[in-house]
Amino acid sequence: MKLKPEILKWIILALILTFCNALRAQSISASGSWTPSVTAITEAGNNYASSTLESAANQTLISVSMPPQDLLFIISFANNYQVWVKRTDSGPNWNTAGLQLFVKRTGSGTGGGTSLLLVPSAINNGLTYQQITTSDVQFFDGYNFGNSTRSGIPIQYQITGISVLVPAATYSTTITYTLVDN
Amino acid sequence: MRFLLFILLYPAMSLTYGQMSSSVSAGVTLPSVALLDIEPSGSVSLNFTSPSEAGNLLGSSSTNNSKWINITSAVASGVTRKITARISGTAPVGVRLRVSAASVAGSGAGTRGTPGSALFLTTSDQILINGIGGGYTGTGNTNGFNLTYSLDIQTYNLLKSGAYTFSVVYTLADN
Repeated sequence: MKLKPEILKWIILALILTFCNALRAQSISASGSWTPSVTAITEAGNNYASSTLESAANQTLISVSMPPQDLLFIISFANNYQVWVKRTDSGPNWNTAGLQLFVKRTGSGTGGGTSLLLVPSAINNGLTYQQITTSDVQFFDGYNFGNSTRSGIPIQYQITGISVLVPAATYSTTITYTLVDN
Repeated sequence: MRFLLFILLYPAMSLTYGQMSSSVSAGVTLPSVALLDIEPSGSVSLNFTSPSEAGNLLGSSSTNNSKWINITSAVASGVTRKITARISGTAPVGVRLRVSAASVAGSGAGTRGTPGSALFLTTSDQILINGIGGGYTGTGNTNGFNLTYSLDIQTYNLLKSGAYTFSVVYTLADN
């Protein structure tokens, strides 16, 4: 059987569209920094009242977009992803000083799309505090359908080790979330 | 031709957006802290015992160890602190006030310093405790550095009977 050139042309076009759609780059967006203050010590002899600082439950909001994995824009397949997290200290090293920075996900956000069979997207893991280190560690994962973005994923932080035994200084760090197409 | 142009442009358009990572910042400032307190509040009374027989010396001075120094200290890396003591006001002539600090006791943690030898206080600051870093002693009259006061007769012919009131000033300062 020999296809007519006109039909063959459109088949090639459809395949290229599908292929290129899958090549679309994934996207992650995080907004909302956190710079808490410690409560002043008012009486000689005391340490800080609490060794822990905790942010708002939605201190940072993350949005995740994945390239659609679909066939001719008709059938969408789940596109799995992972979000990894790490920190980069500027100034004194947090861990050397005795401070630890933790992160957890406090919700799922919204969106992410559904499949043709109305199977919803999903987001998993990351619901308990885990320490942010200077190396990437897996934070949470999930899958989207189509071009949909899962947005407003709420993130909460915790700093432990607050004490007068920790050298007085400003401890700053950059928290980087990396999206990995799984 | 339009077909070919579309094929060439579509991948480029598809790849024009996307971000693999995104960052936010976090930070906390731990300030320098220097707090010192004497517990319990109130004054200390010291006296000499009168001799019971003509020709004898004054009896020994009473001692008082009811006072404690409580501190909280947070320092930048590499910084140490000291506690100095001096007399404020007019002390009786012919008499010296002696003070010593015991090693830190009670609750607390950290680098809380080491007491030096006993001091005869003057109106100039002298180091009573040194080598303080980041630490805290706990509060109240069972925590920190226990102080012991006593009097010492320096010059007999300058002594004048009477009651004298003056203050001892303790300062927590960077070295």
